[in-house]
Amino acid sequence: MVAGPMASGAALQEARTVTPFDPGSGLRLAIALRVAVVALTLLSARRSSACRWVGFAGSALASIVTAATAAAMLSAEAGISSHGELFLHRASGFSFTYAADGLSAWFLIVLSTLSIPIAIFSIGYFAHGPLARRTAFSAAGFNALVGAVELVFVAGDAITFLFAWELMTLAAVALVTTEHEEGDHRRAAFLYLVLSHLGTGCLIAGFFALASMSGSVSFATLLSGEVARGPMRDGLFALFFIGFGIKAGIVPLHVWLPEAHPAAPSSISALMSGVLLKAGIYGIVRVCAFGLGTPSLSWGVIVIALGGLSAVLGVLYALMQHDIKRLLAYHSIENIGIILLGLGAGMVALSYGRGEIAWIGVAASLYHVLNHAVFKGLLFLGAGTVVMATGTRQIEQFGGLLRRMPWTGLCFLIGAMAISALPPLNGFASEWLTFQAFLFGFRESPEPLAHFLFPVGGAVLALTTALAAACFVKAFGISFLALPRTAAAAGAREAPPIMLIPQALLAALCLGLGLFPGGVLKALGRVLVSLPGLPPQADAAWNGLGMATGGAAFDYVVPMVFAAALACGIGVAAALSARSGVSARRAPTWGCGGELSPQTEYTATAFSKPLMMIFQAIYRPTRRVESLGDVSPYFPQGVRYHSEIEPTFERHVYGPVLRGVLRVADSLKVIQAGSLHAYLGYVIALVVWLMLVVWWRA
Amino acid sequence: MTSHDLLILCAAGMLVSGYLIVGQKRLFTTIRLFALQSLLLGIVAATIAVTQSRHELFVTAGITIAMKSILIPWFLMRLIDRIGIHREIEPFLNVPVSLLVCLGLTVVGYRVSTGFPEAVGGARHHLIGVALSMLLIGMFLMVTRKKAITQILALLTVENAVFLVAVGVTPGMPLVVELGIAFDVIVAVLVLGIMVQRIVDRFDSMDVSRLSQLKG
Repeated sequence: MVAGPMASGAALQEARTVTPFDPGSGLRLAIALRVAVVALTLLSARRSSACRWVGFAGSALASIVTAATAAAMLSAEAGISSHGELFLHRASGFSFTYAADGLSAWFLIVLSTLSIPIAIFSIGYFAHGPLARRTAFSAAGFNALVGAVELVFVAGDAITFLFAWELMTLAAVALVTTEHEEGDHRRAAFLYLVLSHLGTGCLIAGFFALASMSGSVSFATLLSGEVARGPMRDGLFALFFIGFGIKAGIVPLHVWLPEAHPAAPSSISALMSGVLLKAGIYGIVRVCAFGLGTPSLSWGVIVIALGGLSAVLGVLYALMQHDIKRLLAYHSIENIGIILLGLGAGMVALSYGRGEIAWIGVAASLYHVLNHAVFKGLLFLGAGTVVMATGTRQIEQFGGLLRRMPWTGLCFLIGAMAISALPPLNGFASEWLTFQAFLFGFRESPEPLAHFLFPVGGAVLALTTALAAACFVKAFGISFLALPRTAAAAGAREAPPIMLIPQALLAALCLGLGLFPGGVLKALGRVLVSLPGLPPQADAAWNGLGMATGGAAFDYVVPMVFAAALACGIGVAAALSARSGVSARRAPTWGCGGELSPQTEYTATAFSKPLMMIFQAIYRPTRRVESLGDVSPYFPQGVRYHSEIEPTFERHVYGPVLRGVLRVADSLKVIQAGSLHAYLGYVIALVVWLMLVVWWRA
Repeated sequence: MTSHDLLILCAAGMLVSGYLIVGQKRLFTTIRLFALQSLLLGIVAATIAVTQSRHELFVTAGITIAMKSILIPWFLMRLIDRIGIHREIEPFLNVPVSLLVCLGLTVVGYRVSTGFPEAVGGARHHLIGVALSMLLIGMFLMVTRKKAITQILALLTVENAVFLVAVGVTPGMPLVVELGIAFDVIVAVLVLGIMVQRIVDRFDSMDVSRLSQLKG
């Protein structure tokens, strides 16, 4: 699709006819493959192992086709945008169209980068435990989900998009209910379904409003930025931002996320966290930021504000979670916030007409989209491995896993360092770039609002990053270090290679994407050409291994140097310790005279306690200490400690809304009396009324 | 008496029988009134067949009389005998009020019938007016009657009204369609009859207002 003022239509048209490469055939092939894989999976449902291999290996194959198509699109010189029909029903003239441009290609790459390792991981993951019985269901659902997300990213008109969007939602809900015996999971799926449809409703309203104004459903017309004007534009922005924001899990709309992501099987959680949320981001970038014309300043401010809120609250709530998958789910909210911070900075800069700063912001957010997919996917796979090995999701019951699962531990550590934005890993690259967007925005913008907004955004980002690091010190330390706290943790075994290889792959990607930011930014340069209002990048600044956002010297970063320095430091330390000849002396830890056991270990609750005290205003914690004694509380047999943080949004935002809806539903019950006569009465009343209308018209 | 007069007379007779059904409290009489109404419909069809030389309408007339004025009433009476229910109708509204409402519905039906382009000339106007009025009266009967049997009768009244328009005003339906409709009606009555029996089995009554107990 070619949208907006950047589209010099004639030139691109010509380029399209010249280029022999057609992404459409690649996309069709991928979709056909997926349909075939789903069919084969369901056919082989009886044979669990065959079904696993067919379903997940087939999915990986289809993802490879998609990835190759997307990569070919990005590397093609001029033919970066392409559109056509994916499917045409001749009798009705109904068609599914695609319109793939740089942005689509980028998100397809993000999707495939994650879905291939996840598919391989799933081959091993679904072999064990209670999930094995649901292999066919999960594999078919997984394929449907990935296929739907692909279709979302390449959809060329509103109908195709909404179809794919709905398919995506339904497939995800189905996967959340994989273990439907547990009430929590059913409740999570229901919550997800309801909120998603609220969002879809907003999207349908938005797209149809655009379509009725422009007389077409094709994105090329709808999102040309010239359809809506004035306050209508703001209304549409709000509709779309809510609609996509629910899917992305932006803070006031996030309540489904910490419920649904942990409920799904871990490999599905990885996909949901890594890519499904990005479908929301894709929509926000495609429609809210670049589809409704030049963004107005207030939109950018809203995006930055909600992004900042998501980032800080996401990480704060993550700190208080002791269920490892819930913790990761809250971190997804945080990272969505970071992505939005970059995007919001870009939108504000665009509204000021500062294309070059906007470039940095948008590039940072898209870079973080990829990075978050990689490290969050890695962390969820690691969590899944640990959960499978120990049978629980509570990190308070882990401990000492590093000795038992060294490779999983190493990969998890790399993921944890990446999400904490430590150089030279990939999280650092994109967050540094986001900082640059804020710093440059601050320096270059003369407007007073920007002078206020950009530093605040940067500060929020800094706070978030530091808290994320604290949170992952907790997650890694409590889970993997020290002594095992339970028998389950003590008996944990390392996962089979088929589950480790995908994690190693993603860990390597974390490192690679961090070490070669220049290459990623070069690819992003091609992506951003397809978005209106952004200038073509200055190639010189992105050469080689480093990142430089401007001409000044202080903003030039070469992660490779960090890596080299780090390697040197470790090498020197190792050499020194080897030379000094002092061998490590093993001795028992001093336990203040007490006996040291797993029970005396530092717990996750204790670790996060200081932060709970600091952020008391946000958490509003309640705690209860009970002495359990037979005779008197002064001679306790045991002590029970109960601590809880206030679920602010659930209680104070959604609670009143829910009660209101229920009250309205209750009052509507009057007409749903269940009486046959009442219903017949409605019919006759309607007929008589229509006849009276005819009478008055005559 | 011309054929024109006969048509109007029969149509008026149908409307009157509709009113009598509204005012009637005994179940068997109601069924007989319905049989009479169907007979009049058959006469209308036969009259049109003679005057307009549309001989296929004789078949329609035959089917209507055989089925609706003989077979279905017989079946319904047998059904009542078999399930041995109380043979009085228990309406929600009392008779005078019902008759007044039906009067209003007839006014609406007649007034609306003047809007049809077919309704300019003589008999057809009355046929459409009667049909629309009967349609509304049939629906009204459905709303106000408690017994499932009376609701079947109401449905059949509505069906008669639709048939009256089809025979009297349109150039006529193909025979296949007519046969289909006749078959539909008989099947509908059979199915509804079975349902009535089930309802009686389940609730010891065929008061459909008790069905609201089923809701959760």
